[in-house]
Amino acid sequence: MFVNIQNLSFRYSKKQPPVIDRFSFTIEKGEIVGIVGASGSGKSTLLRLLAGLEDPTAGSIELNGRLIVGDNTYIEAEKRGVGMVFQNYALFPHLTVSENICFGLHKLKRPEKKKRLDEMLELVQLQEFAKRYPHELSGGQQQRVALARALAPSPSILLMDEPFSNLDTNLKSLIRMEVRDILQKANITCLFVSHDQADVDAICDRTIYIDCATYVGLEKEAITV
Amino acid sequence: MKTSIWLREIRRRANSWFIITMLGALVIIMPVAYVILSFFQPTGGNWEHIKEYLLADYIKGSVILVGSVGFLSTTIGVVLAWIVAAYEFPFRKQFKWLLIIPLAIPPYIAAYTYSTMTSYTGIIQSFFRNHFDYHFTPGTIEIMSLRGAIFVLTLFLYPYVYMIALNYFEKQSASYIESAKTLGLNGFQMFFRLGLPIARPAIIAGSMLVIFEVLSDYGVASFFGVRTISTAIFQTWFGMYDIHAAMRLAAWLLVIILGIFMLERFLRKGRKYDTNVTQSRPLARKRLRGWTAWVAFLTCSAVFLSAFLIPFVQLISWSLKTFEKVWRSDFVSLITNSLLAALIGALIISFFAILAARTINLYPSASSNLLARIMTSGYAVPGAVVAIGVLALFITLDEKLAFIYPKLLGVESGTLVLSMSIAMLITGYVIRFMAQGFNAIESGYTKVPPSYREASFLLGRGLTYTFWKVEFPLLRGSILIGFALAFLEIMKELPLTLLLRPFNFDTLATRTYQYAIDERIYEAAPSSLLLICLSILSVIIILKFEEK
Ligand SMILES: Nc1ncnc2c1ncn2[C@@H]1O[C@H](COP(=O)(O)OP(=O)(O)O)[C@@H](O)[C@H]1O
Ligand SMILES: [Mg+2]
Repeated sequence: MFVNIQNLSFRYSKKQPPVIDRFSFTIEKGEIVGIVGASGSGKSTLLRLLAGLEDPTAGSIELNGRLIVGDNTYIEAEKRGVGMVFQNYALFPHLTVSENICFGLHKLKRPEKKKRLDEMLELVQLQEFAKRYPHELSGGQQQRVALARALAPSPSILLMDEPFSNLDTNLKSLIRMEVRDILQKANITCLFVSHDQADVDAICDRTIYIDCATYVGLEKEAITV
Repeated sequence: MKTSIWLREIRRRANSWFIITMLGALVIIMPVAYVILSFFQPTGGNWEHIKEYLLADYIKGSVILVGSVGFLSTTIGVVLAWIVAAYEFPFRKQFKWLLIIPLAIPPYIAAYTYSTMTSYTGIIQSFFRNHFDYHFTPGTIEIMSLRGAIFVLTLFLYPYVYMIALNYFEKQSASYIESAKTLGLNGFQMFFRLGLPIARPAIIAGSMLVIFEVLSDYGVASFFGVRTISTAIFQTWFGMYDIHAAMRLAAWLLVIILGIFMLERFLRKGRKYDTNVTQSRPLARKRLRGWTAWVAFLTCSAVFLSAFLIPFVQLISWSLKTFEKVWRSDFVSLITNSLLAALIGALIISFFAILAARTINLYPSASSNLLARIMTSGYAVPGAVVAIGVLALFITLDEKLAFIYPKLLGVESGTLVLSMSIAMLITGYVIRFMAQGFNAIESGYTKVPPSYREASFLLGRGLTYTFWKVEFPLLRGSILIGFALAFLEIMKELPLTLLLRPFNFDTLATRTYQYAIDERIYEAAPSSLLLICLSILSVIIILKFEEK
């Protein structure tokens, strides 16, 4: 198992019921898994837990054979090697496209860095836009930059939170294809979250459904398509 | 939650950013806490004497001053704001910001200027004597004693109410007022039945600022000989060198402030003044014609003339007479002292303000809110209270550390080190003006969504790198504004500087005040002008900041 989540629980405050309650599931290497659920069902929260942006109240997560969260273990977000494309992309507005993409490449030496940048620009087809700032790009282009930025440091898993929700409907199907191609070329394990079945159908190998906030999967079999 | 998970949490958050922030917060509350603790400490005969014979007077003085200035400046501020917000008349646009400018004249400077201008030898009386052979009965027009203090403080503090009320009238009330017009309310009815009730939270917020300034004031009250708790703290310290009695007075002042806070809560009844009102439609102003336009124009002119232009021009003319003489003395060293203290103070303030704003942004929680409260508490605590707290703390530290000074610094035993150093003054500044830096930076953080920082973490970058490469570039403007505001406040600050400065350390503010109480009015003018120009700069920065 590449990702192994066991009995994961989380709540935002003591006053509220748990958003995620004893949730377990696994992902194999290279799989592209979709999670579908209504708004507010805890999809983003699940991704944030995996990424290390929130700490679970109980449960454990293993990634690529390494325990990243357990009772006595907590690997910080910056050391997890998890890539994420945020719902609003979170591109740094004061940095150009190439500076954004290079942001996570500090482990590489300069020539390797340049090479990786070129690879990424080519992967997302944005070579001509390297010197632009995020606000000078269309929504779809911004999304590809976010994807390239997240993929550049070669994360062990890529998390995508509603990547198409900010795009025009008529562009969506085209961009879904693009993203699928990019993911396939990058050959990466990916967990993909959406409230729209069509997104998942277009991209994912397997789908998990989340019904309501307090009933996330539970120990029962996650429904597999 | 399991203990092991709880420990895991603590370990996670106890990074160096967090620890330094908490240390900063501790430094900020210590002096005030120390003052409050003085209620439980024994005091000597001085305090008994003060309590028996003087305390009632001091409290009475403070209450009268707060009451009258609070009421009058609120009235002036609200009326002006309404005129400017609801009506169209000649030069309205100019008055809109001109009416804020009086804020740039430190009230103690206005105090000596007005008192001199209206005295027997001052320009007004001599003008009437020489041109019309008219002699005023002594005591009719002189700006002096209690009424002088009320006059000056009202005239130079009303802009706090004006600014906030204007902002509220302009942004909030458009739809109400338009519907009121359709109901056939006339101008006065609209003001009393709509404007006032709608803007009440804003008006109260403005009045609170005025009240804190009045309670903090030392220069005006002492110049006019009004006994307030703030002036009493000075007399107790400089007259008797009794730190415990001074602390008791400061503690009483804090009690009054606490009372005012509760009153404010009660008056607002849970309604909060929201500074981030979204700009709805601007109010469609009614055009005034004929005599009503004249009334509006003359009202605004009268306030602007007396609250800025007249004293300003008078100061210029005095400066021209004495500039040469003042310049030749130690004027340059005054400027460097002021600049240096303000620079160091504002740098430290910016540093801690960034840390605190970031901690709050990083870990939003109840304790973060408490931290925010602590960081901004200084604005409500009068300079004299902060100063006495810091003074007491440094004296205690000196006593406790006395045994290592000879070994460590090679000084004679019994030498005071900390309480004689500029560190004490700077500490006072930092506590008192932290709010200026913090508020600017905290509101700057609204431009930095948490996802930027999170994206940086996920790209393998730590807290520090993320700060410098992501947050700092986006916060630069806000940090600069916070720095500038703190800097300028420090330059102007009088009471705290008087109490905490090292021996022979004079700033523009203290020297101006010294000249004024020595009746060397003309010589006080150049440094006054310089301070006013610096303050105008800070008002402009505030305005630019509010525009965003
Ligand atoms: N920062 C937060 N503080 C408190 N509650 C939150 C926070 N973020 C999300 N929630 C709540 O947690 C639940 C799940 O939210 P989320 O994971 O964003 O759902 P989804 O992404 O599926 O729409 C919702 O009920 C939401 O209101
Ligand atoms: Mg979501």
